[in-house]
Amino acid sequence: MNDARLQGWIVEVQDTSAQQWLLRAVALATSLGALAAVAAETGRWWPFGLVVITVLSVSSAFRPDSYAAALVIAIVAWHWLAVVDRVDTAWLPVTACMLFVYHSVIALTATFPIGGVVPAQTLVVWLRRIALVSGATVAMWGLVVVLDQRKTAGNGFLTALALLVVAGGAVALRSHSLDEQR
Amino acid sequence: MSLSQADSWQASPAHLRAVIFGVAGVVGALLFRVPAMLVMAAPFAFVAVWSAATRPRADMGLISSVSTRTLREGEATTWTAHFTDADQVDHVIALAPQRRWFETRPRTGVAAAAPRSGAAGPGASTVSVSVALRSTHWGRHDIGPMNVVAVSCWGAFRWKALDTGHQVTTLPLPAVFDAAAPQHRANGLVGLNRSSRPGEGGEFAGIRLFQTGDRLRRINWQRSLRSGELHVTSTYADQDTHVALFVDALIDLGASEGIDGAASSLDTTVRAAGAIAEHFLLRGDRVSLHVFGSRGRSTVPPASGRSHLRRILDVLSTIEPDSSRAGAVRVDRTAIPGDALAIMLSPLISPVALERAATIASHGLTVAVVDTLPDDVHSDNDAITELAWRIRLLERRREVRIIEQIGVPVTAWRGPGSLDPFLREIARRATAPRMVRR
Repeated sequence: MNDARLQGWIVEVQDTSAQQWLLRAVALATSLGALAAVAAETGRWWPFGLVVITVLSVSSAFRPDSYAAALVIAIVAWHWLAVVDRVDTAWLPVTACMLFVYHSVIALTATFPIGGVVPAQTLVVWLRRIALVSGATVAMWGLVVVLDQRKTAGNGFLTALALLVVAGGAVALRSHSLDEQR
Repeated sequence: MSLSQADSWQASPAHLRAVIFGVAGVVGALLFRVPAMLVMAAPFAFVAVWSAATRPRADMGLISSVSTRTLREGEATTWTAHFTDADQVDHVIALAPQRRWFETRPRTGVAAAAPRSGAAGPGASTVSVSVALRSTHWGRHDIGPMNVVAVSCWGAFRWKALDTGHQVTTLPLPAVFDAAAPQHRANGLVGLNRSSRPGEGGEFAGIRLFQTGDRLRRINWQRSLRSGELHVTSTYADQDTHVALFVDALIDLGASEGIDGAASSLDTTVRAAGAIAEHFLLRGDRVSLHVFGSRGRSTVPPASGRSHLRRILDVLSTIEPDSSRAGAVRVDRTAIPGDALAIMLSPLISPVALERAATIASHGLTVAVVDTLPDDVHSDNDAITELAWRIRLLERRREVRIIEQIGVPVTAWRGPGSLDPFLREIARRATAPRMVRR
């Protein structure tokens, strides 16, 4: 590592506001919290995953626009599906909400330079939104649990219809998300 | 208002993340019959849909301004970016670059604000973000370019603009200065100083016989009754002084740390010139300015009043040292009347300033030189450089001694009272005959 790069990092650390440190700490805590929720369900820790998630979370906290955040979410979700794969446990919405909060905090952090302070009004708005989506996630989990307990047989038509709805939604998302000028 | 370059709204990595996990999670849950995946993907799908539904469609309007374009050292101005059409905007952020002669508040130069809802319906939402900038050094400085970013709901879309910034003129803050010594002999027409000639004024000169044209209110009735002849009380005219300031901008020596830190030779010169100009102008005298060794405008003709002080400070604030102009230094003798008081401010490192002072003195003008070399100008640990400096300073001392011997006083700038010794000397010498080269 050359001196200029090291000096840049030192300056970056010095210039980071207290609030940005707090946001980064929340991002790290939520990603590790999601992993802890999986551990709580299975009853054992995943040491390698803990190291990987910690490194990626720290990286994403300081480079919020990088792919590290996506990797964190993908690894934790894959870990849940690989070792638990149940829906009738309260740790599932906890894990989902933890990952969602992590995503939101990283998204908010990405919009501010390191020395920036998020206006109180913006923080309140974001907290409200996060609470609303978390509530919807819990409701979705409740619906999934109810449907899962009915043990109904698979229905090809309904599955195809659902896929069509999802595809239509994806196309609508794409048209809204991408710039028309491109 | 300044020119801005703005991009259109662009999706952020956070939005792409939400879309990918939302769509892939829901599709995977349906295809592979994994209900847990649906729960995991649900919040991302909600956020992706929410973000797309609230995506800002129109580019925003951006108008930037600064509250004050002309400052004194140590004063602050505020840069403000005003956004219009901010209906779907979550918050805006402005980033002011760190500039050498500006302190920003917030200290990091990053300011953020959330929009106010428009009372007049869609399209009427506005948001303003401001950064306070305190100028710590005289001169013309650019603030900017300012990076401005607007962010939509969930940080999903960003709109970036680059404000090209504004130019701010920082006038030098004149040093504290006062002179208690008697003023230079003056031959002007109006002012506060006692003239050597009788005329309309307030200072008693004597009592003489009445002459045609004398005002009746000047008649001294007591003396007239005693002597039987009409006598009047005569006064000296109240007249002004022309002070010609010569500023040596050939070189800038020493560390310059702004208004709150160490001052370089040019800082001291400029602030001292401002202080002397302010002192004499507020007394009602005329002051002219001649800057040599600087790029750009270098002369201000003599005038008086507060507006003239601003003109002088404006020119002082544009000084840029240029030693290559040493050979081009010429003193326009015709622009300076013979009764002017010439004050040269220089660190006296270049012999040009002393040569010019000697030239002015040889034309019969009263000249004083103010030494503005800082005490700790040399900070190099190199032995050869140290030796070279010592030799130069010894030469400088010899040059100063020579010019003092030909009658040009040299004094170090020490703020209030700096000019008193040679103002007294000038007042004393004004009564003595002088040899002038024509």
